[in-house]
Amino acid sequence: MMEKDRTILLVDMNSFFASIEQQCNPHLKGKPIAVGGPIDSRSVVSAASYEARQFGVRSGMPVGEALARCPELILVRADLRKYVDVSRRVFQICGDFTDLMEIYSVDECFMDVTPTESLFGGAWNLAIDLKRRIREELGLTCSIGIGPNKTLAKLAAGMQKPDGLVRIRPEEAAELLDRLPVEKLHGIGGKVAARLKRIGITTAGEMGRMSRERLKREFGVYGEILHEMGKGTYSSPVVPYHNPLDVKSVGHSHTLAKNTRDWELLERHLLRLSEMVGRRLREQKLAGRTVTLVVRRADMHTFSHQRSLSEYIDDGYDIYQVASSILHKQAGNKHAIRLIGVCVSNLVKGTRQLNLFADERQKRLMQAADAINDRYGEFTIRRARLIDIEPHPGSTRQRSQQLMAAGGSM
Amino acid sequence: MDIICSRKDLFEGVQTAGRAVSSRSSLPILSHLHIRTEGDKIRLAGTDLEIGVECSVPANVQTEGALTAPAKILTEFLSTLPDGDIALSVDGSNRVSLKSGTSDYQILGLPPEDFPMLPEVAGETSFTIEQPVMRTAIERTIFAVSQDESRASLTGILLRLEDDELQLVSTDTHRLCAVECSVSESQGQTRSIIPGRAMAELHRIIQSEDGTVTVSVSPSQVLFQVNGTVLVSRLIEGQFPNYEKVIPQEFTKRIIVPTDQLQSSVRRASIVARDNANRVLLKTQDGKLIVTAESSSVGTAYEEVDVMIEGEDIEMAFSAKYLLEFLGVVGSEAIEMQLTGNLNPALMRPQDDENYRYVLMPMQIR
Repeated sequence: MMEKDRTILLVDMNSFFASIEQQCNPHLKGKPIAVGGPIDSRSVVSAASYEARQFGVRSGMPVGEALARCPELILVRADLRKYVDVSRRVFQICGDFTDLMEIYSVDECFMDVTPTESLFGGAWNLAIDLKRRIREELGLTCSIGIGPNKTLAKLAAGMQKPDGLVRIRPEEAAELLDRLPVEKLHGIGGKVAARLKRIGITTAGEMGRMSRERLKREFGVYGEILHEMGKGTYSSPVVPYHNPLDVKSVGHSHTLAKNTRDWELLERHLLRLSEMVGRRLREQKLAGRTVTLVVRRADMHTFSHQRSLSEYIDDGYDIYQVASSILHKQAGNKHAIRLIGVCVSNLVKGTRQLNLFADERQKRLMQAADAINDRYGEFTIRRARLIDIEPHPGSTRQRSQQLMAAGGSM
Repeated sequence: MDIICSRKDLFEGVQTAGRAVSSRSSLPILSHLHIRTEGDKIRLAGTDLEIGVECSVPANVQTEGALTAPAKILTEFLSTLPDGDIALSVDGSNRVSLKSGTSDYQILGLPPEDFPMLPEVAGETSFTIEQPVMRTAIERTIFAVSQDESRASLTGILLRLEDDELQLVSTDTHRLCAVECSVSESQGQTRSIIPGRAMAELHRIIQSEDGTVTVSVSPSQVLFQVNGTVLVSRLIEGQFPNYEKVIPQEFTKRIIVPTDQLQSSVRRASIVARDNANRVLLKTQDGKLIVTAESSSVGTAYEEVDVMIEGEDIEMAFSAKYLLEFLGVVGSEAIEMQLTGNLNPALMRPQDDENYRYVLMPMQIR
């Protein structure tokens, strides 16, 4: 709370899932669409395009109600894999402007541009540049809020949607907060707002004027934070998920839909995970020489085995071959398997010993496949063996891990 | 069997044959040495079934015969015994008696007929080579033998005989060593892969500065005879990579570098490079070779060496370890580096010797 001169951005992608679908399918552009789960009357809308919002369609609304409000509504089945992939690209672009970024959700991130804004002609120009790149490279719009801290940046981003850019300067904060209902502040939910109301606070300004001690008595340590938030001076750091220099390993795991003894299926999952690990290694210009296989059996017994090689590798198929040979040696046939994972460690960055006998064609093939997947999304081009294995993004936790990993790669 | 032999001779023989004995053998007999009489000598043999070594030491043979005794026990016993004569004999129940001065030991042996004697190597291919030539050829290739057991064919040295020309080649896929040497009395031709370990043992056995090594190769085994000592090894099955196609045939730049100066520069720079995949950068500029290294956790290194350059300036990254291993055995005042692009293999050789080529793949900077 000592730093006063920070500049924080919040980048919020506008109607993210729906915009991606509209971007992928031009027929959906300019039309009211809703993205959701299986299309039946019981499912709910997980995202609506701005066109649909004009009819009152909102996230979380049952599909039946949405259709009642907007009979022309086009329902699109959610493709989370695609969203995660685009999200990663968005954050990659953000990462070109600062390395201090905190991925907040699939479509939002905080950026601390204090050290870098001068390189881009100030925060405002930086934000214009960032918006332009996201628009040009991905065809998507976002709202950016600029503020002296995360609370105000978030508030600013919410003030103009879609395609907004709002800056709250420290000296403007007091006036703005004066009449702002507390629940509009990021981090204050209904319960806290209700408790504040009981002690006579309804606006952020009132909260800032209430003494620190009084709020502390009421809310404990959190009271101090509320006091600072009300004054517009609460400043929590933008925490990068991890420092890219500290990447010690790169790995992926997958919990199978059903426990299995089917070796062919396990191997295919292993191949898919290995290819994902290889992609991430190459993206970060890393190569590693220790491969670890993790297996969790149906009885939850989990074990891992690793093998170190004489050579640093970054090709998914090479990783797969090592992992698969460990699998055959260690897993045994007695137990069904619940989870399988592969990880590469012992990494070197930015350099690699070349191989005298390297298959040049193989290398060019990999580069071409990388270029295609960079452009059109992961696994757009893949090995035939993976054709019928759906590279779905897995559980929510796995997705957020992927996002974190993407954040770390910048 | 009943013989008398000097401690010194017997100890030498036990040590030589004992080199082939593995300490982790599954068969008890393989931890033993086989000792038998032959004229006025005894022959000692040890094997782990991959390699086998047999040697002779002079002895006063009283009664002919054979015995086996544990190699480790013999070595330990003989290493502490004072010099003098040793009486070695065996009774009908394979109990080996060792007597010297006031020491009297009875060691449990095994039936000598159970010992897997070294095979006869009957091949159509054979040749003879000067001992120092063979020794140098091994030194110049063995460091690039791969340790990666998953590619067995690279864990040995290729022995290629055509006419009177012998070639030894090793590679771990990052670099390749090729040595040509002339041989005599050659018969037939071969391309055989000999385990790195067997070549290391052969190097140890070759002690003298003159004399020859006689080599015979069968489809599955190779036999080396050095003076009275015989080394037999199985060959590694499998295909040695097509190494000729990776040896650069032409170049666009050539640098002549004094070996000692390059070696000490790279050695110092590698102190910094250690934390960065051992990478050193070689760059030419104004008739100098500049060696640099950097590491985010250690710092930077800068070294200069005066060189002769033909062609454009270069900037390439190499593994310091791989450079140093070559510079350590090249044995010439200056080396010649032949280069094309910074991602193409570099060919290095002693300036005065075309029969040794070291092909080193650079490191890529990404």
